Amino acid sequence: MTHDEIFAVIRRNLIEVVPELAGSPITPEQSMRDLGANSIDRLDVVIAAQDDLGIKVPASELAKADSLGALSRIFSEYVS
Amino acid sequence: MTGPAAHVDRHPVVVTGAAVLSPLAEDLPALAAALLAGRSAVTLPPSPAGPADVDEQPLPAALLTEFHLDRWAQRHLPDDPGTATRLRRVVGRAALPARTAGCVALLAARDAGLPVAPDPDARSGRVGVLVAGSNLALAHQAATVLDHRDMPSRLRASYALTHLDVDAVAAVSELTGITGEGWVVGGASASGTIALIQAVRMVAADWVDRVLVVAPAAELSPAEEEAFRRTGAMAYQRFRDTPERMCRPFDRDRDGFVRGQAAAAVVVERPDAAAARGAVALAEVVGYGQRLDARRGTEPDAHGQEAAMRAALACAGVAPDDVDYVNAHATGSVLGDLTEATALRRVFGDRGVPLVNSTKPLTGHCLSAAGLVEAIAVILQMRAGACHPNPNLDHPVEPVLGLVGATAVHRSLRTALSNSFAFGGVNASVVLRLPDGGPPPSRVRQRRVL
Repeated sequence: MTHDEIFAVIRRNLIEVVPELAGSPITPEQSMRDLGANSIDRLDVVIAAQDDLGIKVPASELAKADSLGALSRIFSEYVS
Repeated sequence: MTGPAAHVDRHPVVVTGAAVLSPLAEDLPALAAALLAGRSAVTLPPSPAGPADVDEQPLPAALLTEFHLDRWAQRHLPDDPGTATRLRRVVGRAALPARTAGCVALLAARDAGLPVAPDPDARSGRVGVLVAGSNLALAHQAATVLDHRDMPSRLRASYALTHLDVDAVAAVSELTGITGEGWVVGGASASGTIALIQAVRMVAADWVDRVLVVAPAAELSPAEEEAFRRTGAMAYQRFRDTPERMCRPFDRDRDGFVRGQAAAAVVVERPDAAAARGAVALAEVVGYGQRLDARRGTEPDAHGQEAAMRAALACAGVAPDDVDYVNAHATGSVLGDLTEATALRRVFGDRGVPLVNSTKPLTGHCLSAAGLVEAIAVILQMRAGACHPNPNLDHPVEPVLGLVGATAVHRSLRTALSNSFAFGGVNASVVLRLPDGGPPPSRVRQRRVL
């Protein structure tokens, strides 16, 4: 699975949680916080995206993600 | 038994805004019209194919199955896209109770002419929020638990919030910018009335200037619904060909309550606080009473009901003869209606006054929201000068009561009593009155109510 595909999964779940982002540009440099997702929103996105990708990433690893691009790179290490 | 009367009218409290969200109507004029026409929102879902025992057939109900947050916002906030966006952001993924609470809270605040967030006036700390009902999101909880059993990895972190009744308090607070006190008031089917009573007390005691009382739409999971049916409290056997006739308060052929679903909200405040901002009083809350039966269970008790009504009248300084209209709790329950009829006879005698009706054949029994929905129904009827029909009352169980028949009765209604009773022996009554100064100004009547 490519980075772009993983990013698309994250993006889709983010829009599900924050519907007003639909139609706006969402780029790897942005963080979910920048895009208006609060802490619970961010957890819902991360949990749903992991479930879609069939992975389980330790919380300590997830804490290192400071942007959507960084999150998809971390996810990519767990996707087989 | 009632003790010394603590007259509310030393600190009168007025209702300055209201809102409803019901399958019957989504605004006050439509609700008033539906009530006076005796229209019922009760329907029966299609039965599954094949022969089945009536005990396994679907139950009649008047539910908010058509409610959709975005479409609601398009209808009610068409000129306010900013508020519509905030509504979706704040409650878009919350459970049904918090979603509906957000809707009616915004409309009641608007009806009362109150500023809402981000207006800094709303953040004075002098406005409170009370949410009526507990265990509100039962269907959401049950569905989440079942999903979690099957797909544990999918559980949303946000369920930590959405399972809580207080999520509705938080949602209303964020949407309106209210920063005074707020909490959840639980009293099962009497919750709406008890929350109104507590709001009046908060205002009368000068804890706050005004309170936004919100009764969210309450959910049941299939388990609670079936348990209610098994108590024998629900109508499901008779009149299945005419679902709108299945809820039959005070009628010989009643066989239980029919579930309804609605959200409601009112703003109550001190008259001076209302006058200071030029708000018009729709009604006054002049008395209230609550009594417990000291008996756990589902059986009603005429003594407790009578005591609650007498306490409310004493609190208001109103004699039974001064009451023009009673909105009965009357769910259509076989024993419950008979018990309330007895309590009403003891309080009001057998002179055929006051007029008595039940709103539940029209809205269904909205459980924890019922008391607030019915308080609004009372206000609308007083302002219209008419009592809505009891459309399914063919053979009254207690003919000496002033039960309204199949058509509305037009009469001046200045003072009304509304009853709410609940499992667990909880009895609550509230007395509402039209503000002094004769009939409501026609301007207000046209703009706000009819």
